Amino acid sequence: MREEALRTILAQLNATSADIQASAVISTDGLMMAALLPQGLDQDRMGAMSAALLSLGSRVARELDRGVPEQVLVKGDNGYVLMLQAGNDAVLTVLASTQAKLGLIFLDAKRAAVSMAQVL
Amino acid sequence: MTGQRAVDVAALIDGIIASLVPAALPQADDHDTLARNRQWLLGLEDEIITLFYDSLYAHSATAALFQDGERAAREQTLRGWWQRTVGAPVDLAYFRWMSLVGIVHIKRRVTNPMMLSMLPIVSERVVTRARADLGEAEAQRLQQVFSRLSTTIGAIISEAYTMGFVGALEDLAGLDPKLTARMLDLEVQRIERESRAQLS
Repeated sequence: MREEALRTILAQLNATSADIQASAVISTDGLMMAALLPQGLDQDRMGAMSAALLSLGSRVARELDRGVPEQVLVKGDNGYVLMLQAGNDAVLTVLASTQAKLGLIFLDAKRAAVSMAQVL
Repeated sequence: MTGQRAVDVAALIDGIIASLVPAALPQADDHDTLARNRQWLLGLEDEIITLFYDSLYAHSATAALFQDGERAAREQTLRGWWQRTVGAPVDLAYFRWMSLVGIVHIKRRVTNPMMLSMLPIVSERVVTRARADLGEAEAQRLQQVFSRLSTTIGAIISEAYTMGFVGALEDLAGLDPKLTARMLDLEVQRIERESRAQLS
């Protein structure tokens, strides 16, 4: 039930832009809760790494007095990885292409994270 | 998200002691044996300290850990350890203190193999000297005491080392211990697979 609701939110998020290639919601201890990912991605590893990276980003933000962290963004040659807190206990991870308009992606991802927090 | 966690040495030691098979821990008879031979053991201090650091300085991997001119200071620290180990009851307070050794070893880059390899060297010297000074029966009792004591000390120092090592990384990265456990599970599967392939 909850997983289905989360998958619906992920599907809506992925539909907002052709540049969003995949998305997933993961518990803060690294367990995959729902995902719309391309085949070949190791969901377990992605879950653990997403949670770890958001944890590290949060720690950095706190240590360097940047306040409550909103997101962590990784830019690579092949695109972006965006991680946002979805409520207290989950992480929304979004994979986007290099052509992605980040402002729109941030906005849509944040909306999705708020919706997920309500489900969770 | 996780912030820095307070270190709980008492909980750490309680957990380690609880996980040791009880027969491996020092027994009531062991405490009696230590108490009965306390003065004799304290008299071995100079010999043990010299043996310990001669062994470390004679081995390139351990000798490399020392800075020039620090042997006297290190010997003084070991004297304190020896006096406390054989000069007073080996109790929970003592074992909690031992956990600090594991933490200090991280700072000084003393690995667990280095630490563990020194325990039998000390024990064997005690037993050899006991055979000469105290007779075979008492030497055997001391051998049993030092066997259990070395096992417990080695377990505490090595586990405190590991927990301190992982805990430092968790705190720095803000990782929840459950997440760390999950990452370890994932990576250990890969490490096991690759290790088996290399060894087959």
